Amino acid sequence: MSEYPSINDWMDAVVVSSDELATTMLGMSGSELIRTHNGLPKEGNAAYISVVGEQSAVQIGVGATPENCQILVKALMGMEPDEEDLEPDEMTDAFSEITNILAGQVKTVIGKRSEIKVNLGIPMFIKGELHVPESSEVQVAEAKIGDVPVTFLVMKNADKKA
Amino acid sequence: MKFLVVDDSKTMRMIVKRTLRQAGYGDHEVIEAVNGKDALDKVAQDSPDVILCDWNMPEMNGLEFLQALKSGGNNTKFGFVTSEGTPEMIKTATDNGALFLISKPFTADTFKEKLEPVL
Repeated sequence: MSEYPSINDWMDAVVVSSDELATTMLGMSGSELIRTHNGLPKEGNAAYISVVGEQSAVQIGVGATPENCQILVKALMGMEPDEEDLEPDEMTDAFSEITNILAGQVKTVIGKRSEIKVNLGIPMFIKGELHVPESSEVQVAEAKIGDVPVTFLVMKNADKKA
Repeated sequence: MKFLVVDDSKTMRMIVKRTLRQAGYGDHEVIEAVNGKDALDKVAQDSPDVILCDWNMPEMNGLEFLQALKSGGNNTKFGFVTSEGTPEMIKTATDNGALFLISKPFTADTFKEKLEPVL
């Protein structure tokens, strides 16, 4: 890997990290990448977290339909899928935590593969369509955590010159 | 034994409590705090035996809380449970007096492995 990870490097770290998240804290069979593209999701829920370095910043996001968000947060909290849905504020907190855990693992993976030092921000939960600046690179991965369809997003700001 | 679980996320506090139960510590009392400042109050009020603390929190983060404890002469057993587990963070944690750092994602086995040697 080059000194500054590319958007592909970041997405690869997200996919690798999601497998560990699935098999540990979510008690699921693993994760599976279906395809990657550059189109932003038009609807659904997603939680994002900033990963900021001295010369580079990315946003990592995990998105899913409201129903699938509930399945994932119930798994995180050790609940059965047919248990009563979490209240919106509980779901937001728990889904943001899933993204936070994923981003922490991504930081570890990237740290092992490159020299860069990054810090994590605070997770942010967004409902609906996302708009990003034209100067940002975007990569989206359609994937599954266990049997649950999810979307991983990486948005990368232009690297600053050293 | 009394555990103090410090995390600004209610979800994570629930998950840490559940993992403690799964790791065999279900018979012990668990109290909670939402950030380092709140945790300082809970330590003064409830005298926990073990503190499991997140790192990134608003108002007072986990490292500032640990440093405040140590500067006040408090030697309660302290471990971090946090999203990030880089070698630099582990060194910073132990240099400041933490006994261990559990990075997420974790399992009940991780808790047993880190807690058994210090309890």
